[in-house]
Amino acid sequence: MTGPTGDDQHTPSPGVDADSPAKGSVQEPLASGEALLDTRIAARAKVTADQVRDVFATYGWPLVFTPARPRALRLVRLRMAGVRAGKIAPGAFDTTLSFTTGLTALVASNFRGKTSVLELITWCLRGTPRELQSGVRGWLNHLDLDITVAGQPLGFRLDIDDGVISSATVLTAPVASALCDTRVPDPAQQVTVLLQATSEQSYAELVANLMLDRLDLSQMVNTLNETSTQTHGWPAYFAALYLGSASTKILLGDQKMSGLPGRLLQVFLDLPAAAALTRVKTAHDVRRNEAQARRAEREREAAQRSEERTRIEAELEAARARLAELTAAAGHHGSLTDLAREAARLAGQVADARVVNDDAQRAEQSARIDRQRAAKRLADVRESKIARALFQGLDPDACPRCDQAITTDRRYREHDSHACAVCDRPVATDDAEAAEVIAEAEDRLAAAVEAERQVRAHAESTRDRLSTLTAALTAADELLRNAQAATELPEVVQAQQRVWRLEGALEVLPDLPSPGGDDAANEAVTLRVLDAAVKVLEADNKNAAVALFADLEREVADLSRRFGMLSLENVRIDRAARLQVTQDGGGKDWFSDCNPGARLRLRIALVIALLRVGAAHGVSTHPGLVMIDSPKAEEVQDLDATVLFRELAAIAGEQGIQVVITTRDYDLVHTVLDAKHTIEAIENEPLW
Amino acid sequence: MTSREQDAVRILLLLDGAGEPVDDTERALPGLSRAVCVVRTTVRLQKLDFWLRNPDYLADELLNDYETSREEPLLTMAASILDSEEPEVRRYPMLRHKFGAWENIDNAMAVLRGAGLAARKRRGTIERVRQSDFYLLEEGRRVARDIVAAEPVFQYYVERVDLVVRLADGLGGTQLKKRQYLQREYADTPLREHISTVAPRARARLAALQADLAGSSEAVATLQGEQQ
Repeated sequence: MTGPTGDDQHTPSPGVDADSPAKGSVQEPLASGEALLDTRIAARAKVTADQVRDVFATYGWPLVFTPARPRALRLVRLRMAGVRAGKIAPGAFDTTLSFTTGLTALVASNFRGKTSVLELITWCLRGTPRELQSGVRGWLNHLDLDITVAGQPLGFRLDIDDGVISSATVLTAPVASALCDTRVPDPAQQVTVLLQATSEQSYAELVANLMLDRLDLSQMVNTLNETSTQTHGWPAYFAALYLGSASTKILLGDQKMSGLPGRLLQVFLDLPAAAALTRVKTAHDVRRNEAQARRAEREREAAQRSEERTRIEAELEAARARLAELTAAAGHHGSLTDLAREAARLAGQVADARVVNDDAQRAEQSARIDRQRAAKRLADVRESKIARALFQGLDPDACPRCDQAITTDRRYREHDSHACAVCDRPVATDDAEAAEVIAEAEDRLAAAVEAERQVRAHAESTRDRLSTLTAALTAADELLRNAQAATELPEVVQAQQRVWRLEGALEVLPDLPSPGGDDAANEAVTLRVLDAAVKVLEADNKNAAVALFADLEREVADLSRRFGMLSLENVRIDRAARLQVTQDGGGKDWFSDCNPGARLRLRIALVIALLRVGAAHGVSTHPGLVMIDSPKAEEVQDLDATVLFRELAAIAGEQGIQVVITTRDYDLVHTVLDAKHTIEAIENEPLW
Repeated sequence: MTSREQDAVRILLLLDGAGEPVDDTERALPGLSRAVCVVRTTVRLQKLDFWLRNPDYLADELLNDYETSREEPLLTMAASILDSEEPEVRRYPMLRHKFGAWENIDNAMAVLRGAGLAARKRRGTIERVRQSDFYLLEEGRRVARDIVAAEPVFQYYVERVDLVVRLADGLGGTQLKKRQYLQREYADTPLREHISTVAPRARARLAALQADLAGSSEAVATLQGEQQ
């Protein structure tokens, strides 16, 4: 932040001469305020000063509000050349009118070009006329206007063809006199071109930019439809110079909408941060509304997503319940896979048990056969022994061969010497061997019985196990078969597919990205900075306004009384340019409720009051050019008009401002103004 | 293989149980004065002995009779044999001979004749023996009754002989032989080899027949109708 370094940055002096250099120094309070702006906003927003500077840099706003340059705008010369048509003074014309400071009256009969002069000035300065008669446009070939803006001479040179600008040039020169007689650049006189246009539209745009630049005014931006902006440029300001007709109810400017009167009032009171506040506030509103719209959209999406999730979850729950119901009805609760696994496991066990059992059964059979053999063998040897003993105990009776009786001596021989009574060979009588054989057979049988008992016990256990497992397998197979049949039922398949589909849908339903991250954080910081900036600037504005408005109200009241509103008690104006007057006896009226004469006086009083207050406070203000069309309207009393003219002339002279007023009242003008301040037509002749 | 004395005891008990009474005319023949009963023809004796030695064939034959007569006691008897281990423990396989089951019973008869318990009479010409009759003598009956009383292991033969005789009641030896040939295993058995058991098949038949019997009487009647 640097201090003022050149003439361009000086503040206007209380004087009226725009060419005079700045005097005094009132920048210090402003400079200190500016120096603190970023840190004050940072403190309020609870962010760092760097972050505030980032936001302002992003928007391209200066953190230093340089004091406005002097805005003095003065008419110097108007030239009109062309060919007049019609009944009144037809033919070629080339008229030049010169203007001076103070009150200048344009005097002529009705319909003799008074108002046209104001409109032609407007055409040049504003870029478009306000309500210029199309016939008049058609007469013109050249329209030249010389002015000074903040002390700099500018020359507007319009070439008009069939009522339309064919080309336009704005010239500048070090001194106003250098522009007097030229319509083209002149290096010798240092006359140079500032801008050049070839159509009405481009001329209007270029002039608007030029004038805003030269008067150090900014476009007025306000929010429109919450998320876009509307721009009011130079024409809106110009309406504060060229006052509307007495019947208009707007205090300042020509538009009531968008709070423009209040804006204009603030700009012309040069509240230090008025323009910045407007810009910041607008940006803040747009940004906040966008954020709200985004948040609303996010919430809507989140609600929608949540609703969708809830719906799918509910459907999934219902589908699962349906599936469970169907499968339960089909008689199984486990999964098919589990059942199949169980059946396979049992089948494996059955196969194993069958192998074991087969072995055991074979072993049992084998043991039984062994035991049966042993039993048979034992029975055999027993029978055999008994039979042998039986026959040995019997006396031989006859020869088995010849059937003849055994002789007694042979019988004795066998008894005594153990010689067979039949064949005479020795007879074995020892039965010990047979007894051993029986004992052995008994042992074998006992062993075989025991072995069989053991093997049978094992075989029974393996048989039981096999039969248990087989029963289990049969049951499992049955279960599996039923379950399989159940799963192949169309409604079960359908329910299962529905469950899968819904699970899939839930799976792919994405969660909304939670608003966060750097962008959101930055946005939050930006919004906080803007919010804080609005508040800081508003506070600055408000504080500054309090003093200025108090003075302004007093000046408006004084001037209005001088202009003939004798019963005026006081005037209240707020920052929105709402004006209320208090009459003697305490009657209060809003501006719009006053009569046209009062409204005209108050409007003029306001402009002059702005200039006076601005001068007193050393702040730049209204350009100091006021154009008033026919204040001598039917609503305005003659007496009042005289007072108004006189006082206006006096005050304009005092303040060094330039007021151009039209009238048809020759007497009035002759009474109040001298020739220097009168541009007069012969009665019933055209003014130009 | 059974011992000679074993065979002798079995034949003794068979003669005692299966013999027909002997009249005085026969007792007048030489050596038969003390005869008490007779089993006529070798074939009959051998075939009766076959059933005695092969309880599985006996049970199978009982089932055949049951199928014809539908007398439940036959089924019960067959079951008592097949449900026991008799076919395994009491089976004394015989060799197959040209005329049927045949075991040389001469040795057993020699033992019985040597002890004066039984006698054999051949009939026919010198050139050709037409048949042999086997007589039990008084001493033989006494010994048979004594040994059964003294040694209970032989009671089995007494009871079994009774059954065998009842089965063979009124039938000649030739018919018995034919009936035995109906058994597949018997017919397929090569000559001079042991006749194999029919116990498994007989047990299967028994189970099937018992199942039929356990069915409704209507089913039984139907079965009978079909068989007729």
